[in-house]
Amino acid sequence: MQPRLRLGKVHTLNNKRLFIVPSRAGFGFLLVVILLWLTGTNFENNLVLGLAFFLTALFVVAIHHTFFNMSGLRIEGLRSSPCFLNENGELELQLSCRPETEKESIQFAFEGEPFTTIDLLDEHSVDVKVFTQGAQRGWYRPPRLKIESRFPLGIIRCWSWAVIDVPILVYPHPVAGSELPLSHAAQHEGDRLDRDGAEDFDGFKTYVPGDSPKHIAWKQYARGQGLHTKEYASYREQTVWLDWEALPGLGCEQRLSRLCFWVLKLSATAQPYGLRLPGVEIKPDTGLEHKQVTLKALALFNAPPLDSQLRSTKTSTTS
Amino acid sequence: MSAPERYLISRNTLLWLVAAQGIAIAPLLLYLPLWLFAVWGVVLLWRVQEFRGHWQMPRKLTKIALVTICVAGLFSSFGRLLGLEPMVSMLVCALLLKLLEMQRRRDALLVMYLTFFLIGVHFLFTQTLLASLYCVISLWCALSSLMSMNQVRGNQRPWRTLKLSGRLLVHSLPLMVLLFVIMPRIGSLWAVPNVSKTAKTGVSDSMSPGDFSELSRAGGVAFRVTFDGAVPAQSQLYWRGLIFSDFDGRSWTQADPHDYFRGGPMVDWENTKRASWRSLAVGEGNSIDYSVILEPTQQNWLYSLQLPSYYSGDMGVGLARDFRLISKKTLSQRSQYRVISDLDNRVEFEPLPEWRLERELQLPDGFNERSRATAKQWRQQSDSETAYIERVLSHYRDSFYYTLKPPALGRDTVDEFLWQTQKGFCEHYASSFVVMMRAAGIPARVVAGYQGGEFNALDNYLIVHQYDAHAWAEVWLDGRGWVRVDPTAAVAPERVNQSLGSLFTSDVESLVSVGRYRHIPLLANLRMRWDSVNYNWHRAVMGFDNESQAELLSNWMGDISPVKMVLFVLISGGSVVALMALHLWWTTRPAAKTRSQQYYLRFERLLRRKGWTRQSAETPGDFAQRIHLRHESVGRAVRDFTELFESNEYADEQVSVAQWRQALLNVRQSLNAMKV
Repeated sequence: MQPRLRLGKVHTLNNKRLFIVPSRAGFGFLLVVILLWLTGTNFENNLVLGLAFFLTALFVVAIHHTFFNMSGLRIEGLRSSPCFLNENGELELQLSCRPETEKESIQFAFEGEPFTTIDLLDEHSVDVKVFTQGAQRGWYRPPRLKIESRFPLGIIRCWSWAVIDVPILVYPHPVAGSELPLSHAAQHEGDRLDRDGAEDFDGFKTYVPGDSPKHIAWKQYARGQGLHTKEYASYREQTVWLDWEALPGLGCEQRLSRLCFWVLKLSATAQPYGLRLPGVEIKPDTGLEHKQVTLKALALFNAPPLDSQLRSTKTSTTS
Repeated sequence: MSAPERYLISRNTLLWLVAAQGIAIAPLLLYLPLWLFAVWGVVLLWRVQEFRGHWQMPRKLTKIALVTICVAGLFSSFGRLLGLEPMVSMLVCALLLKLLEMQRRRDALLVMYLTFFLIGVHFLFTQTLLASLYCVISLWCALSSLMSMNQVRGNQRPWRTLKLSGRLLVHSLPLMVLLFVIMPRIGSLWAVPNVSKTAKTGVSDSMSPGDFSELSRAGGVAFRVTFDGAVPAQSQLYWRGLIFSDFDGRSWTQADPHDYFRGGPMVDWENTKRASWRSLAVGEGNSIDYSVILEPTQQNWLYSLQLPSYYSGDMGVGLARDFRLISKKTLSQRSQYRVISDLDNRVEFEPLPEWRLERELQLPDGFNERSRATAKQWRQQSDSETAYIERVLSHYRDSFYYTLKPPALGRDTVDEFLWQTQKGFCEHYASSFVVMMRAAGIPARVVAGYQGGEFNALDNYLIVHQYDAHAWAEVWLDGRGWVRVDPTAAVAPERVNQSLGSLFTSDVESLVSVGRYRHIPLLANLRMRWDSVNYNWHRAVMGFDNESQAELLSNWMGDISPVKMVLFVLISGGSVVALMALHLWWTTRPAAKTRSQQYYLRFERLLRRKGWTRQSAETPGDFAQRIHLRHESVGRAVRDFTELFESNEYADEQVSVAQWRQALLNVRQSLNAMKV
């Protein structure tokens, strides 16, 4: 079984990697064949026997047709999008076949997920998204992908497994709670900035929960212009350091979950934030890219390496 | 509905299912109660209305009511629920009603499998070539339907589905033929009910004037005969079926079989020659060897010429005490048997025992007094028995008239026929002749069967039609045994020398029958050809039994040994399947590569060794560009090669083999130079 489960971005199905057995409907079909044979034999009717033989032949032929429908199918893992722990991660696959061939009713899904069905009739390549639950923080290799088809008659089931070598980045599960885990250093830094008195007023921005009440433009609020926050040029340098050490008494995953929550929270504002993990420091910044870098750092912190996952996947395929 | 959506049946699949089901059961309904059509109509209407959203699927109570109505209907139609027709009707009912609760894939699958089974069941009722061709169409439709259940978007293209299932069908045929030829036939495992509702055809087991006229008008085929050797003259072709020895004044019936019991077993099955009475008949040469394919008669007597000396057949053939052939089973299907008959023979030539004489001279008292008196008178006036027979025959010859539409006869049928109406057909002649013989003390009996036949020169066989049904007489002469006398021949010799079909065409063939127009040469030819195809089909397929199987296999392999047999099955089965797979592969093989593509592949292989692989989305131009950025001298050679490729592929410029080689060589050299 081992050679059938190769790791790779591209999988092309062939006779070494396809399993083929009668489906349950196929056993029902054989029952009909047996009934017809009994009828033909008992009535000594060659035409009924002929029909029984025809259906037997059809069964054998269907094995080949089902096999040919699957064989040559190429599955390529294109890209993945990250997800939070225990949420659905998305993997984009490309299914294709040679232009001379047609593939019909190909079903595929990650182990334990419902099937998606596609046809390759007019177009010979199709991009599809498949989902799987990100079960482990860090680079998570999705479970085996099952590719199955019963076309054309449903009496034969042909399937193959593929481990798509496109890992999904799984962020920690965000958990709300506790206070903003600010680094002590950051608090000092804020004081220092105050002392410098570099308070050049820069403009207003719409209030976002979490903005410091010290900077709310109360005058404008009183005029009925809504809640705004005064922005100061120097305030941009006033950074928030999310610090691992600021969450004492919690386990590793719990700390990461809270940090993750605050990263999401802060990235919704214009507030620059940095991240300090043991051995990792990300400079304060804002923006989508920064958020992704930060989340990635959280995801990969002390995460198990990919290879150990592969080993556990392999051992689970012996069933 | 908790089932996932993918298990629901799509509209196109539903249409396929209804079509496949309809095509499969339509021919069956011809043999089943007519009200099943009504059930079909109701179910279809319901399903259509349900689909349009007007009606709902029946609820549990409605379903129970429908099933009850159908079962009650079956019971009132048949009076029983066992037997072939009631059981098949029940299956058809189940299949139709299932349509009303078919919502999920599993139900649809059940409907499909029942359909497959019913396609086979149709063959229990009819086995003609036409039925077989029809079966192919039903199968094709059923396969498409099954395929459509496994399609997603594909089932929106019915022609494609039909094409694909047609391919499956064609691919399966060779293997089916192989299985048909090599699979052993093991014979009935248990007794099965026969088709009973079909009308009994052929000669009936009793004869009273009037019966035969109806029979003669039927245009169907009774049986077909292939002769191994020359075909005997038309006037020799008296196919003996039944022997009537008992006359009650009105109708003739067979003698009570127990009367024959005194000489040991009544029937000599399978030509064992164990019965002592077989020595009573002696063949004296002029044997003919022939095989008969008899259409289903729902009776159990067989037809043969004169005295059968050898006989065999799958259904179990036996020789009865009155030297005619019978079958062990009721003939509900076409069946085939082989006979060797001695045309020259003497049957019961030794003096008949008292009990036999009594039987063959029996006449009811109080009937046909005038005929009996006349017979006695004429016999006294005649010198010998033969002279008397001639006297009676000449009486027919004088003033009788052969017609298929004789006037009705009263109580004394023979008297009225002989002295008043003098119009009739074989039955009247045979009956009156035997009465005249018996009245004169000559043992005589009526023989019913067929006379003559139509020769199909295309395939050298004889077709005997229902209208060839005939009755004649046999008289027993001392020292000579039973002798055939056909009084009808005395009146209408052409009836014996020609087939009845050509004499009374418009009487015996219905207007729509091709046989009616046999005087048009083209149609006559077509009719013969069609019959010939049908006949050969039957001989090859329906008649294929253990014996022909063994013969065919030994023709192919010489002596059959288990090792040879296994090898044969493996090799032939393997090659049939391999051929099919080859065809599948062939139709999806990659398109042949052009020369430029071949060279480009070699070029790519060369660069791959250096670790430069073209990405699947990368054009040759982009690829060359990328390499050029990495390494200048290699890049130049690569670019030259790529230009050559592009000019050939896209600009249609001619590039010679030498040019290709040179360009490839340049790339190789530049790569080698890079290594150093």
